[in-house]
Amino acid sequence: MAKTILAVDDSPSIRKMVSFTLKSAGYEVIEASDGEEGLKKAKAMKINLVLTDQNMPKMDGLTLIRSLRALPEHVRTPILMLTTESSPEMKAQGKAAGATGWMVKPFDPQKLIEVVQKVLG
Amino acid sequence: MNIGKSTVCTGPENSASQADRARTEIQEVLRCLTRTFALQFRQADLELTQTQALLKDAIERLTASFSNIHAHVGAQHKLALTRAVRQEERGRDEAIDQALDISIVLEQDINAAIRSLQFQDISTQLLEHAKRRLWAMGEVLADIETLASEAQDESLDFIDHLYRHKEAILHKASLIDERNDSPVSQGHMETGDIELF
Repeated sequence: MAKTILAVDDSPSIRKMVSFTLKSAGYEVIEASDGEEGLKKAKAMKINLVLTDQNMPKMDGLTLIRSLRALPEHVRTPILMLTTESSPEMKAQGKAAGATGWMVKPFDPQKLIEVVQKVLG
Repeated sequence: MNIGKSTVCTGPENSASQADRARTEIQEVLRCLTRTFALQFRQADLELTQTQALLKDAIERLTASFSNIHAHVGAQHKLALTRAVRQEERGRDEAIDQALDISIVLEQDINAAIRSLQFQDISTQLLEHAKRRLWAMGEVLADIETLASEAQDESLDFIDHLYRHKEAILHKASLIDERNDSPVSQGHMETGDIELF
């Protein structure tokens, strides 16, 4: 059974590119346009991995990660940050919040697939 | 730039009237500066918003075209590969190799397109940041306008008043840089860093 990835980004074009890339590698992709919607979907369905942007309306990526880590069912879910933010301070905040990894945009499709495969084990 | 009253020398004047005149001129310059810059900031903001709208429209069309082209090319390529496999033994291996070579090139081009199609998200964030900077500068302008109004009060030590406002404006301008860290450092569309914790 295909693993399900939740892609959270306020940019429709990024969601489309992420979705296109991961679906072509055999994953099922659920989309959310901000952290709030992402959290709602992560609570409602079985998610194997979360890929989230940082700067979004309503709820940012760091808040989403902290909220997910507070849920027993997502304590161990791999969460990757996919963002334009690249400062060491932001990465440190991501690590402290519980992110599994940090990817700076733009992403390369092949590398995204490799990272997803690696963290999904 | 029209700065209002001109400063034509009309002969010897006492220092009090020169000070009054300087005060009036400075007020005029400040008012002119705030009006002019406020107008230019508004226009710049409108142009940035227009650019964002154009980018959004362009990316929607591009991603739709990309998906269609990918589907068509993929179907055509699959057909070519099937034909190559079904071909008579003579020349079959060569045809299959050619088809496989094309798939490698296609995949590289698709990857490059996906990477480039992320430009709208990155540039929109930069434009949004530039708009926030303009908005913050608008606040500094409002302070300068207040300074111009207050300068009418003749009981104020005008030089001291100007100095205090200059300090306040510089402080506010430094805060704009402190609070407005750009979320985008990329200057190209090459793949970004990856770090697993």
